[in-house]
Amino acid sequence: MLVSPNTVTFSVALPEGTLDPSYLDESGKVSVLANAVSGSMDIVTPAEITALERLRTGDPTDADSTVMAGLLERGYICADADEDDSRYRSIVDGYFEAIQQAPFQFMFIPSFVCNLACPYCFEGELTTKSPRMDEEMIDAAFDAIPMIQELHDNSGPPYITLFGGEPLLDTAYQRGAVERILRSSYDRGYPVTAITNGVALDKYVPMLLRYGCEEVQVSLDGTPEIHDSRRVFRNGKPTFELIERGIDVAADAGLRVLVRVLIDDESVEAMPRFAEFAQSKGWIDHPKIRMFHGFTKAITFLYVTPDHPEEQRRRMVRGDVKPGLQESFYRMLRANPLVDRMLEPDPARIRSAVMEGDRVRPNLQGCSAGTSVVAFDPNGKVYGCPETVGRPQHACGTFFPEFSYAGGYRDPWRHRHVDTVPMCRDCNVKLFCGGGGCPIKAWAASGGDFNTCYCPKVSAIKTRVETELAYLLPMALRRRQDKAARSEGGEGTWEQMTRVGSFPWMS
Amino acid sequence: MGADDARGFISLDELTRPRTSVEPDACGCGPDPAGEAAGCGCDTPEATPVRRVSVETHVKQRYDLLAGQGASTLCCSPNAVYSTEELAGIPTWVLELSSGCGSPMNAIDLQPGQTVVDFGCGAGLDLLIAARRVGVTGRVIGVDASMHMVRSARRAAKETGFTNIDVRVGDIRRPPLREASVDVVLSNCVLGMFPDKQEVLRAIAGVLRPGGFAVISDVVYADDAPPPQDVAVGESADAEDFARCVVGMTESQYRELVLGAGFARVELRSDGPVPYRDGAEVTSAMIFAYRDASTTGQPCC
Repeated sequence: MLVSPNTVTFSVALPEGTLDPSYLDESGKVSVLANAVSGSMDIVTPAEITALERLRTGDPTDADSTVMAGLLERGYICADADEDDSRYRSIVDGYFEAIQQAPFQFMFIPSFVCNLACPYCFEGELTTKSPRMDEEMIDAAFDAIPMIQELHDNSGPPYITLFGGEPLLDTAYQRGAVERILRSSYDRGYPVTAITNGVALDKYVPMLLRYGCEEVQVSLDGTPEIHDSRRVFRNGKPTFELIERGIDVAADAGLRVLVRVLIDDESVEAMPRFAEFAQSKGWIDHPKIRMFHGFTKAITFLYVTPDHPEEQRRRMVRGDVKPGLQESFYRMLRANPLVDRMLEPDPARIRSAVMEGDRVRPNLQGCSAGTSVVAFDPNGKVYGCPETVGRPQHACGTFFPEFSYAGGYRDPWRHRHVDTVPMCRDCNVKLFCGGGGCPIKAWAASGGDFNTCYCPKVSAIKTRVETELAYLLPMALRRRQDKAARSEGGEGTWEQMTRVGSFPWMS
Repeated sequence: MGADDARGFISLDELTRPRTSVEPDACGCGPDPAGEAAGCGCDTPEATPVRRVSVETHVKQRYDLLAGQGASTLCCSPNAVYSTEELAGIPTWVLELSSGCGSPMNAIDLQPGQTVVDFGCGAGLDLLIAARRVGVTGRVIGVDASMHMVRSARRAAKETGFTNIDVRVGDIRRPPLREASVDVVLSNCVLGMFPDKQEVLRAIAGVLRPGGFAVISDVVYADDAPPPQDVAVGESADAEDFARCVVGMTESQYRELVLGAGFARVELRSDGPVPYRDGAEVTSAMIFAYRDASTTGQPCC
């Protein structure tokens, strides 16, 4: 017997009384075992962890055969290393096949101009002055789509996303360009979505519907007071009410609306009031509206290239979400179930496993941009990550006036996953983070190699999962207790238990 | 540092140059596209084959090359299959650049207002003839994988003043067209360049409206006779055979393929032997494939 290389032990601090004290270790935490290859996640006792760790270090105990049988059944230990590796390999191969068929998202940026002046915008100075995509350039971008698909041997149906700057500016030029992109997409049978600031969304709804646009994404910064203190027009005028109207008009007309709620130190404590507002608007339960959160983050990495001096590169890619923000966020969530219902946060992608009893899903690529995004900018350049658009050092080709594409640069990026990055291959947490960290940061920090890792630290990945577990487990266990109390048999059957949480084997 | 600060930036030229350069093989062969498709062609027994490109890519590269040269050396000249009246007003350079073993536009009766698509439109000859017939209320769309051919077809439409022609770069196995949006699909000596012909036929069936039909010209030979000497058959066909459009199948095989791709009915009309520009001789046929139980758009002959 040996421990499966993808078995991870998470150590989670839970509020007192959540679990029987026999589950707690010396530090008062509870251990959760997980293996994304077998799809298992279980709360275990300190004795079970000891048995597992002794086996890992080659010094197995005479553990109860029931314990070992349980660990084996759930895939945490295995009898045959080759068989275990073959299960892992089939997941990696399956992922590779899937991305060949997966749809590419082709993002069109008619211009970088935006009518808002949000202080944290990652496009920053690009949004004040920009060339425009003319008709010839739009046609050239559509010509490039099959050529890029061919270079990547990709057969999935492409889809189009309007992006900016602000794509839905209420100007004659922008309406003309957007309509041409929409019409060309419709004629080709390509689905369309739009990412917009939402201030003129209501005016664009008829056009979006005419060409079969399926989904729009807008952003709000929380309550009107906070939102209008920073997500404002260039002359400082407020935007909340305009965006609110855009959301209502679009959703009522049948468009799916994704509302990205931007959270930072300033807005996090106001989220409960914003959730009440969203509920009063009927947004939280609206069948066409889905709300999710995003954190503001450091963007200095956008300015780095592999040929900067090493120390400078490492300094510029450092930082992501501001320290302490995640903790503040979860603290606020614990006290405000309505915010949880509104956002259903799941940064570690374990929510459905914990709350619904689904299998733990392996995450082989932490960033979908490299595998599926191609952005066309109004300078005629092609980018592989929407956050890097307009920064020529990150361009990977041109589509106008001539087509050129750095397949030799882009292919390793597209195919980068947990198993192509050597440092990730040997890490047992890899299937919970997708491996490698931000590809652009890794590329820049390493001096130009995508198959390297820009990992905040394995401990940080574990902490992310443990933080979410600490948040979700009390809710899942409470649900389970409520369910058990309602059921006739007390303990409940395996099926009943999996419906209320993913812990059928909680010894 | 601002975005306009060029210090340390990599130039786009450098960036778009493949970073993973193709190293010479053990035999020292370079990445010649034609060689890639059929292996490097080197006699050295221990030679490591270079990365293979698909037949479809090889064919596309071949037609890109022809478009650059400005004249086709493949298949038949339009003068051999179309009448002088039909070719009236077509620029000479379009005729020189066009290749096709049949004349699908001869075999069908297009109506004003129809939407017609040419799968593998090349330099746009059939687009121009179709545009004349469907009139300003109709629409003619050309799809071709070769960017250079698409540019040629756009130039042809511009020179002849047709505003109802729209030419798109695209792979006809996954055509950039809305499903069920087309009345007539035509394809002149193009399906024969695809090893998986049924994949293309399924794509054609997908874009046709119920009641729509396709007219396809391709290399086909009789069931009860051996294939003509210059026709390549089955597994023996290599990438260059596909590019030259000399890969054929029997009438029965073709019928089966069409019906298996989702068409309700199929008719074949033999066009007999056709001489190619390069001296080869194949037998060609016109295939009429009808979507659903359509009775509309009957061929005129």
